Amino acid sequence: MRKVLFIIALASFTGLLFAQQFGEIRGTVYDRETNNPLPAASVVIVGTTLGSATDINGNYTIKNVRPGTYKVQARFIGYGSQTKDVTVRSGETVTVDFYLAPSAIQMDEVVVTGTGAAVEKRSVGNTIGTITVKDIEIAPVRSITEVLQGRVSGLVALPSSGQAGSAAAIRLRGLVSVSQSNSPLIYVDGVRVDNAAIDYGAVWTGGQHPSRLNDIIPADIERIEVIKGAAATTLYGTQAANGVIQIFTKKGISGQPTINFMIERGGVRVPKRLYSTGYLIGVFPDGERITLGARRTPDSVKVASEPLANSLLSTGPYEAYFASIRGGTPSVGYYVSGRYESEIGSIVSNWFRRVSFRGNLNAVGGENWDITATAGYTYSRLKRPNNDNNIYGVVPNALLARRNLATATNPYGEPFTPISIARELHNLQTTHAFTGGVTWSHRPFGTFRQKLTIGFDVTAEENEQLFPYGLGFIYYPYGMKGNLRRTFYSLTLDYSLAWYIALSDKFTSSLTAGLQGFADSDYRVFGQGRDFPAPGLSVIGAGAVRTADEYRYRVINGGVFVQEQIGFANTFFVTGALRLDGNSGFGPDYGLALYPKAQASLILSEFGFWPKNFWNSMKLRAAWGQAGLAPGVFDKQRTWDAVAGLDGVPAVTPANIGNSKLKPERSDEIEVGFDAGFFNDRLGIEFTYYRQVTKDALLLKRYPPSEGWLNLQLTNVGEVRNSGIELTIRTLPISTSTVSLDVNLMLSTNDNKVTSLGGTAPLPYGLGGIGEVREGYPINSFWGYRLKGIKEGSLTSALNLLNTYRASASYNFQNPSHRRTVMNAIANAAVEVGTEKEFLGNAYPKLNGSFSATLTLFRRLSIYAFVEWATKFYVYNNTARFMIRYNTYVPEIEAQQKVFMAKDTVELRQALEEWMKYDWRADDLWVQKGDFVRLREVGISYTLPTRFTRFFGSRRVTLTFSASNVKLWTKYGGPDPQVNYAGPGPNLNQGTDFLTLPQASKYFFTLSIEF
Amino acid sequence: MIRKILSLIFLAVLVAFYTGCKQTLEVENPNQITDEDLTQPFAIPAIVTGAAADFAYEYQWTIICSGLLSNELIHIGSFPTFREMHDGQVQDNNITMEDWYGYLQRARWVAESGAERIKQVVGEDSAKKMIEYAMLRIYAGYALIHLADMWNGSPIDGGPLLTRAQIYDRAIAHFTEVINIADGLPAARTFKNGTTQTLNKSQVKAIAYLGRARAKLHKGDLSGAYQDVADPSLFTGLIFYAIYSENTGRENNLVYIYAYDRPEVAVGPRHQITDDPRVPVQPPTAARPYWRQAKYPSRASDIPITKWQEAALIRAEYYLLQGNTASALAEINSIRAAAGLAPLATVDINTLREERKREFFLEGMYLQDLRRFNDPFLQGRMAFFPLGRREKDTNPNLR
Repeated sequence: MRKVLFIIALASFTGLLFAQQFGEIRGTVYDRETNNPLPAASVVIVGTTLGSATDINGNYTIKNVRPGTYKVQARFIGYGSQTKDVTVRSGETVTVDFYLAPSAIQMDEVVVTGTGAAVEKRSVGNTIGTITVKDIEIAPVRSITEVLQGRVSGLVALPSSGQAGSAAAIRLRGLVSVSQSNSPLIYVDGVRVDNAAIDYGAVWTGGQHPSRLNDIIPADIERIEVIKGAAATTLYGTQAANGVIQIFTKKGISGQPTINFMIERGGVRVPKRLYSTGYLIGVFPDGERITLGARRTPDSVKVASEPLANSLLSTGPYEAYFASIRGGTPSVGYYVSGRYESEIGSIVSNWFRRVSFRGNLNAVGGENWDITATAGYTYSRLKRPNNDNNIYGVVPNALLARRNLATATNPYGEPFTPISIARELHNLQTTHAFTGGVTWSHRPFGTFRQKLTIGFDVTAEENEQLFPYGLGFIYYPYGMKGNLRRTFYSLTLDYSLAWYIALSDKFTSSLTAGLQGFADSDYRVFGQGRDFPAPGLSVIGAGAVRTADEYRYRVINGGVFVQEQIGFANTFFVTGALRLDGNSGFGPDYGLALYPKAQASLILSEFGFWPKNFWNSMKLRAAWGQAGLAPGVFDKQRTWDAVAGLDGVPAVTPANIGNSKLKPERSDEIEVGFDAGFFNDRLGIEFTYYRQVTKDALLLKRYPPSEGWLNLQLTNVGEVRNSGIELTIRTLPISTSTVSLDVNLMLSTNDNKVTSLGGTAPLPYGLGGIGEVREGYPINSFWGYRLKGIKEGSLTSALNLLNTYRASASYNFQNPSHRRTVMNAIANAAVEVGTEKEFLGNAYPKLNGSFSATLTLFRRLSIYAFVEWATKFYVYNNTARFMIRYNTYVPEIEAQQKVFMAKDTVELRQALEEWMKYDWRADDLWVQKGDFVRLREVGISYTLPTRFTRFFGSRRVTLTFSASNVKLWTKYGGPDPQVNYAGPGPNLNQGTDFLTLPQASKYFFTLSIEF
Repeated sequence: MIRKILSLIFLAVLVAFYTGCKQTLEVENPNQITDEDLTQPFAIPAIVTGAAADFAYEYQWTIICSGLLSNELIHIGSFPTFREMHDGQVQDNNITMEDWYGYLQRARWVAESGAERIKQVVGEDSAKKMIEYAMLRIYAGYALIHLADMWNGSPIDGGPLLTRAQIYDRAIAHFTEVINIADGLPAARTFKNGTTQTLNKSQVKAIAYLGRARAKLHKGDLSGAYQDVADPSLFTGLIFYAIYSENTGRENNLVYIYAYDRPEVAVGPRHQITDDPRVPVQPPTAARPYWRQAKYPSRASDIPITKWQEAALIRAEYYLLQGNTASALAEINSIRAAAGLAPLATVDINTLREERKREFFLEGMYLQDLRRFNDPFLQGRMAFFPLGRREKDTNPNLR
C-alpha cells in the first residue's frame, strides 16, 4: 500500500519537470465518403498521452508537442482509424488532415469498461458490445431497455407487459444465479446507479412493476459499453457476475453551441382482438343462456365483448418535448438538456410522465489534468391499474367475467371487482432520481495517468395506493390509503492508475491498478390507514385503523485490483489481473474474495502472410476470469422477526435459519472468439464462444417444515453452467455520397443448466408449482403432468355418468359452475392425465436473434427496420387455463357443448378428443412454445434541404416517423409470448402469462430542429 | 498549486478509504433479532406472545383447509389449491397445504422450544412456576392435536414419521405437565389473552384438562377423555380464544377474510342452517349468490380454541356409549339452553353428532368428527391431508 501511495505522490509532483520549446499539430478530420467534417473525433499521438478532440467543424489542435517524429492517429466511432507519420519541429505548427472511411469493425476504438483504464479494443481479450447514438437515431426507443434490446448479442431483454411504465428485465448470457439478482450492474458516466425493480408487497398491484432503469433518458446517451460475463467483469469483483453496462452521456465539444429542439407526438395501442376467437374481453353475450345443444359462435362473443373492450382499451396519446445545447471552447465543454414526456397507456388508469434535466461539464484544468462533472435528474410519475394476478385488476376481472352471472353491481359478471370500480383504484409512483459524479483525470508525467471518480446516486420514491371510500372494494369497503417511501443512496468511489512503459521497441507494458468502494443504503417506510369516515379522504391519518412498517439496509462493498498487460509490436497482448473484495454479505467465517483473470489477444492481420487484400483485419482473442455475486447482508445470521400477537403485544417469530459460512457465488468464465474485417472493414464479423460455470452457487435450501423454520436458507452448494455463442455481423455494402446501406445481424445462443444442487431437494416455484429448479435442467424450467389420452374402456361408464347428470334435476346446464362440475367429472372418468411430473420446457430462450437495416438516400432520407426473434423457449399460458376454469374460454365452451350432446360412445370419443385440447388439468397443454419473430421497429426519417431549413433559421431540420411492435408472428397460443405476470424482477417465475396485458404497439412522429 | 491541493485531497481520500476497508464491513442491522437476543429473561413475554400469535395464525388455516376437505366450507373463488381440497383430492405439492403445514409445525416448534428456552434461562424449577411456561405447553398441545387430526402421521423436528397416536401422546404429555404444575403456579400471576380475556391458574388447568380430553378422544380413548372432563364445575363458562386483531395484517382473522370479505369460500350444504344461533350463516341474496358465514364478521373476531361445551359433549358421548341417555340428554340440553334453544326430548348418536357439528362450526373439528363417526361423505375422498412434498423432499428420515 505504501509503495502505491509513493508512486502516486511522485506522479502528482513530477508534471512540471519537462519544459522546453514545443511544436504544434493541427488539422481537420473528414468523412471520406461525404467530405463532411467529423466533430468529436479524437486525434492522438501514439504512445503518448497527448491528444485532442475535434471541434464542431472537425478541427483539432495538439499543443506542446516536443520536437520529433510521431505516429498520429485519428479515430471516430463508426469509422476506421487512420495513422500518419508527422515530424514536429521546435516552435513550428504542422498541419495534418485525416479522411476516415466508415467501417463495420473498429480495432482501434477506445473502450474503458472492465479494462482498468482506457485502452484500444485491439488489446482486449474479451468481447465488448457497444451501442452508439447513431444506432438509435431513428429507432423508436424511449427507455434504456429498448435501447439495449437486440442491439448487443448475448443481451436479452425480457419485457413483461404492455402497461405504460412497465419494465423489462435485462439478462446477459443467460441466468447466472438461482437465488441472487441476475441484473447486470449499471454505470452512468462511471457512477453506479440504482438498478432495482422492486415489487413492493405493501402496495402490491398484482405483479407488474417499474424498474429504476426508467430513470435513464435515451436522448442523452452518447455511447454504451456492455461487457457480458465473468471473463470480462473481473475488475468489478463481487456483484459483477451478471455483466456490466456502462452508459456515457453526451459531453460538450469545442465550437459554436448546437441547439437541438425535438417535438414528438404519437400513440400507444394494445390490440383488442386477442384470444383466438374472441376479444381480450371474454364475456358471454348479454342475455344469452347456454342451453344443452345451443351453438355459440365467436361472432356472438365478439358482439358482446366489443363495447367492454372499447371502454377499456384505446389508443393512448404520447407526447414529448426535448431541448439540448452543446458546445464549448477547447478548454471547457458543456452539454445541457431537458425533456418532458407523457405517455397515456392503452388500458384505463395508466399513464407515465417524466421530466428530466442533464448538465455535463468538462474542463481542461491545466497542462496535464482535466475534470468532468455530470449531473442528471429525472422526475417521474407513473399511474397504473391493478393487474395480472390480482382481484382488483382491470384485465383479470374482464377476462374472467361471466355475463350470465351478471348482477346489478357486477354488470358483466366480474368475479371480484366490477370494472367500473377497479378503474377507480389509484396507484401512483412518484420518483426523484439524481445521479451525479465528478471525474478527475491526471497525467502527472510521461505516460502515467490516474483517474478518480466520486459519484452519488439517489432515488426517492413514493408509492401511493388509494382505495376510495365506499366503492365496495373487497377488504376495503371504507377505503384504504397505503404509502411506501423508499430512499436509496449509492456512493461510488473509484480510483485507477495506468502506467504505460515501452520496455523496448517491440515490448510494451501497461500497468493498471485501482480501488473501488460502494456503499448502498436502502431505507423504506410504509404506512397504511384503513376505514375512512367519509368519502374524499386520501391520507393515512384519515383511516380508523393504521399500521406502519420500516426497513433499513446498508451494504458496503470494497475492493482493489491490479492488472498488467504486456504487448508485443502492437499485435500481441497478454493481460493478467487480480481483484480482492470484501462485502457486508459474506459470513463471519469467510474473509475476502479473490478473483483472477487472464486474457490474450493476437492481431493476425498485422503479420506479413495475412491475405490483406480482402480479409484486412483479424483479431483472435481469449479471456478467462472470475467474478462473484454476494449474498444479502442478513442471510448469514439466524434471526427472528418482530411481529405482534394477542392484539398488539410485541412478539417474535422465526425468520432466517442462518449460515455462518456464507460466501459469494463465483462465476468462472472462458470466452474465445475473433473479430474479422473484410473488404476494408466494410464487413465485420465478431464471433464469441463462452462457457461459464458458477461454483458455490447460492441456492435456496429448503429445510423440513417440521423443524419449525420455514424460510429458505441461502447455502453455497450448487453449480450452474451457461454456454453459448454470440455472432455479430455488421456490413456497409453500399456507402457512397448518395446511397448508403447498413445491415446488421446478431445471433446468440444460451444453454443453461443447473449441474448440481449439492444434494438439496429440487426447488419448486411459480403458479401451482409449474416451475422447478432441478439438477440437469435449466434454472427456469417448467414441470408438470402430461395429457395421456382417453382411458381405454372408460367411455361406457363415462356416458352413463353423463346420462345421470342429464337426468338429474340438481344439474342445470345453463349454469357455468354446474357445467364445469359435469365436465370435470366426465374428464376424470374418461381422460387420463399423467401422475409423474415431466420436464415440459425452458422459459429462457435458447436462441435470440435480430436483424436491422438502414438505407440512406442522398443523405436525407433514411429508412430503417429492425426485426427480432427468439426460439426454443416456452411460455406458461395460465391465462387460457384460468379462463377455462372460469368458463370464459370460448373454444373450450364449444368443445364442452359437443361432449354434453354426445349420444353414444363413438360421439363421446370424438367430442372428448376435441375437448382434450383444452384439458385444464394437463400442464403440458398450457406450457406452450413461445417462438416468435417480431417486426420490432421501423422508422423513416427525412432531413429537409438547406433552402427550407434556412427558412427556419436553423442548420438542420429532420422529420421522423417510427413505430415499435409493429407486427408479431408467433407459435404461442396467447396474444404475446413476451410477457410475464411477475414483472421484470424475479429470476424464477419468468415466462408466465397470467391475465397479462400484451406488449403495446407505439408510433411516433418526431420533428427535430438543430440550430 | 492546484495540483498540490488536488494531490493532498486525493491522498486524504485514499487514506480514508484504506482505513474504511480495514474496519469490518459492518452493516446497519436494526431490522432483525438474533437468536442470542432471546436467551434472556426479558425476552420471555415476546416468546410467549409469539407462540400465541403463531398458533392463531396456524389455527385459522386449520379451519379453512379442514373446512374445505370436509365441505364445511366450499370453494367458490379463484384458488386452484382450495379447489383440490374442496374436491377431496389434494396433491402433495398443494401450496396452500404446504404453507399451512409449515405454520402448524412452526406454531408447535415455537411453543415447545420456547418452553425449553425458559427452562434454560430461569432454571427448570422457576420455569414450572411461570404461567407463561404453562401457556407454551398448552399451545404446543393444541398444535399437536391439529397436526394429528389433519395428517395421518407426520414427523416432528425433522425426525422419522410418527403415528397419530404418538403425536396425540406428545400432546397429552404437554397437557399433563400443565395439570401437574398448575396448582403450584402463583395465584397472583395471570395470563392476559388479548385485551378482553385474563386467564388465572385454575382456568389454565381447566384448559389443559380440555386439551388432554380432546387428545384422548381423538386418539380413541373415550373413557379416558371422560375422566378429564367428568367434573363440570371445573369448566363453568370457560372459553379459551385464539386472538385476532385489526392491529397488523398478520393478526387479522383470515377465516373472515376468505369466507366473508372475499368470495373464496362459502358455507357448505350441511351447514346451511338458519335456525341455530350457533351456526350464524347468511342465505344467498341477489347480489351474493352463495351462503356466507357470519360467525367471524370482522378481522378482529376471536376464534374459540376450546370451551366448556366441549366438556359437556364429551360427557354426553360417554354417557350415550354407557347407555345412560338421560344424562346424555341433560348435557346436550344444557348447551342448547345456553344457546337459547329449546331442549330436545330424545338423544341418540346422530343427535350428538348434529350438536357437535353446530357447536363447533368453523372451529376445525368437523373433518375429525366425520372420520370418527365414519361418515359416508368421506367415501372416495381423502380423509386426511397428504404429507407435503417439501417435508418428504427435505427430511432425510423420510427418503
